[in-house]
Amino acid sequence: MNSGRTRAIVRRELVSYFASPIAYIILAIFALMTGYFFYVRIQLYNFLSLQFMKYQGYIDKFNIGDFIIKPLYANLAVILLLLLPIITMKSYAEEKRNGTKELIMTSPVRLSEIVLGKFISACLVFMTMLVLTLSVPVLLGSYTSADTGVMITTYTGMFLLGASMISVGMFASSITENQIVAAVIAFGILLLFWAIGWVSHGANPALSSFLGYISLIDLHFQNLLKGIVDTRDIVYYLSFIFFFLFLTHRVLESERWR
Amino acid sequence: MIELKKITKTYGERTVVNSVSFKVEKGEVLGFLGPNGAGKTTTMRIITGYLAPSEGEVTVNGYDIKKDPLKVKGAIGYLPELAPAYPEMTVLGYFRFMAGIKGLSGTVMGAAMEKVIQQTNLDKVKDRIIGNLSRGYRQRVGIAQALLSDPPILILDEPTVGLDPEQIIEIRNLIKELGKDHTIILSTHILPEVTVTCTRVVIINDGRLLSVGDYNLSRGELHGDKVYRLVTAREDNGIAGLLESIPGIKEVKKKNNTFTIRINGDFKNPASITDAVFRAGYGVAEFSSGAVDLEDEYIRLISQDRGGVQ
Repeated sequence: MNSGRTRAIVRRELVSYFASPIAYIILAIFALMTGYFFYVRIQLYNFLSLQFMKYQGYIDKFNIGDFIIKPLYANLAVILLLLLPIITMKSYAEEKRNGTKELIMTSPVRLSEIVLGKFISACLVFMTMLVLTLSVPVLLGSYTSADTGVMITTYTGMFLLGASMISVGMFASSITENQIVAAVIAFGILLLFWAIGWVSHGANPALSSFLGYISLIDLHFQNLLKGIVDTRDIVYYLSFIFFFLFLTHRVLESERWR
Repeated sequence: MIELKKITKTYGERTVVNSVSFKVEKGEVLGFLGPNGAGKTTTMRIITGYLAPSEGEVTVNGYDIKKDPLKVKGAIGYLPELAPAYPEMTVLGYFRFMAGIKGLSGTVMGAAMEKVIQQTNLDKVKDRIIGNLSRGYRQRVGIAQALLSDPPILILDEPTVGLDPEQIIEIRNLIKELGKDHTIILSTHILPEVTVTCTRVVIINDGRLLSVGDYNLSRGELHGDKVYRLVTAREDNGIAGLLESIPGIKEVKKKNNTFTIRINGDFKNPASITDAVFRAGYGVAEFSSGAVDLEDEYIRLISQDRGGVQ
């Protein structure tokens, strides 16, 4: 692995993301949705806090974490599911359509460096999106007793979840030269990995716990939103990312033989 | 420098390249000729490591493409068909990226970029967006990109396609200039291009090699034979017979008062031909060597091959 070549790829990808309006539009939509959801949650929290005055017994169940942070970031996760495939759809599809894939594949650069470089740059765009939401923890931290630890695990969870979605998007983009098709395939795969957890209730216990485990958003993300750091969740996301990047690598390699 | 051994590429049932073998020596400018769809691009993609051959071996600069793909890719500067580039980037940004993935950095990168910009005359447009450049400039950007890491080998897939006559001449001159210190493979279906720029020719049709490198164009040789062109002052039907009677002359082709003469490679005294014509009273208007009629040879080989297929 040569960091200079990977860096060259990351830099080019970032230039191309920010040379088109798409990155700015995505950033704007994401910031807007975050602000809106945050506002709605705060309003609801205000309203509920008056109600909870009447039931003093439940007051310890009524906290910022459960009523603002968890639902807010769970909503943002769904928004990410819709936005990230738009970010990743061009990664390989555009290079195939333009013929520039031939340029990078015949340069003295390893395929793994290409795959990693493209993944890292999409993650950097995604991190910019996350940075725009930092006003939420800053406001909560200054005006409420929100737990800093929970905020940290929440952002760790958001990052891992987003990076996983990006790896799926990368894979989808590698199998087609049509960007729309790439985005739709990524949506499809992500929806499946999201919804697969829903059937986990009721089915036979072994199967349901398995489906719950492979579900992208359900179990692992909820744990991190609650502030629980379980290595299984981290390992799950890292292996998920590795698996889809590996598939991407295989797809690109196999095209030499077709 | 480059050696292909029995390269075959099949897509399902279809064989695109069929057991092609040839060698390119250091310093040669090899013209890779063939009709559209003959397998030229596929062969070049195999040499550059973009496609893997179904069968056969490629060695470039002493390295096997299967075992040392990065070494092979590092030794080759490649201009793919239609000169693809990132339309949203500036010329300089694009060069910086290409130099980066070719492993250049720092001052070496800066110097390399400066050098290729001078070589390909791109100074005027270096800050412009590639997508807004004309076809000729984009082609030059493609060639410049191939030169960035100063590779010993250049592979150019149809470098002049889609250019206007002036640009074609410019690119040809550039290739000739580069041919002085590079080994070049150049694919084309335009015959004059080969005659002007190449030292040797490979002809391919329908994935099969018809003729390998026996045309030394710079020395006017065809399969080891020398070729001369003779223009007589008068037109007469007796001239062809007279020429054919000279020992050593293998073949005479007549077109009005122009004769293409093929002579054994060891024929020592070409002046005896003009003497004979002169003495017979026909008059010599022009006599020159190096008149390989590639067009003729090409059409003959291709139509022969097509006939053979049917």
